[in-house]
Amino acid sequence: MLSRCLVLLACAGALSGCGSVLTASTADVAGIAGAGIANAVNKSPAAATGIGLGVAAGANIGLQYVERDVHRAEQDQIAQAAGPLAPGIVGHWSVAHSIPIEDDEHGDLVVTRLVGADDFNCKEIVFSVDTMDKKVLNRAFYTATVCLDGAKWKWASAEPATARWGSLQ
Amino acid sequence: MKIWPLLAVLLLAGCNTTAQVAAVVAGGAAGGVTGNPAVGFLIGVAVDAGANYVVRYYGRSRQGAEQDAIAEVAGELPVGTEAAWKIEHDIPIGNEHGGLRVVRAIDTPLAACREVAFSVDEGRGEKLKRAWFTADICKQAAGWKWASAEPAVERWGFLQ
Repeated sequence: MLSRCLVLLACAGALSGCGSVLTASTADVAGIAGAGIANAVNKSPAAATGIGLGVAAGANIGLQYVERDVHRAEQDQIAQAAGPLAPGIVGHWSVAHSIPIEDDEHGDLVVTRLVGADDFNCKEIVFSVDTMDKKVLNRAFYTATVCLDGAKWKWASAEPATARWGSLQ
Repeated sequence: MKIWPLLAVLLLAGCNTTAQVAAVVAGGAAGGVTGNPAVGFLIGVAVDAGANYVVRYYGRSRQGAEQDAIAEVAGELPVGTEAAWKIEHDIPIGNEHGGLRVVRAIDTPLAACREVAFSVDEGRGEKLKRAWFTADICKQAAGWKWASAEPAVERWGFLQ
């Protein structure tokens, strides 16, 4: 039930960059509902408050789970598009999300460098995210690394140094 | 919703509770005026989301300005030479500066990119501390821009 509510909320905010609205409303609304329900069942306000907070924490984690799932799908699509490419050959990638919490995106990509040894196999890539703005094509270029994990190509860029996290958290 | 008091609060380092503070103030006032705590709570939620977005947008803008400053200097620098970079924000707190070097040029049929090593410097002379980082920049229609993409979702951990 909670996951279905989350999906509906996600569909309601189906624009990228909507993260803070979803975060604030999902957790707080779930918290109100949780506290309201708990109140009806037991008469102690302290217990009801505790249950409300617990539900809020759970709902936020639920939204983060959905966000990660959707974003991982895009990273996997790009990594798998890069897998069969030799350096210097331009390929194409695209992703279509079943839950529209992020935009469906597409672009081109190229492998710039192979990095590896006997036990690991990675590729550095440059990829573009193409958007149309009033019939003008906008291309933004980014770099990343993908590595072969077992049989599957996966995103391999690690997180930035925590000294640079600043507003990321 | 007034921006300037929010920005003033933001200037304290690690100020992640700004949005909640604004929300409590707004929600409390609304609840008091209407006498209805539910109204207060809902207004608090809306202000929290809005203020949260503003705070994060402002933080991103500032970081973006620093990224652009580094990218602009590194874009036209010959590979291997060192140059200085600096950022001066409109609100002069959190201004940073340092050195940078282009490590290598990444030329592809898709875009021209460069790998850059840059330092964030503190102090001077004997007390100079340099923290080094690496990043990639690529040439877009609007000029050289930061190009390092996000980490793998499996590494997001506490970043979200």
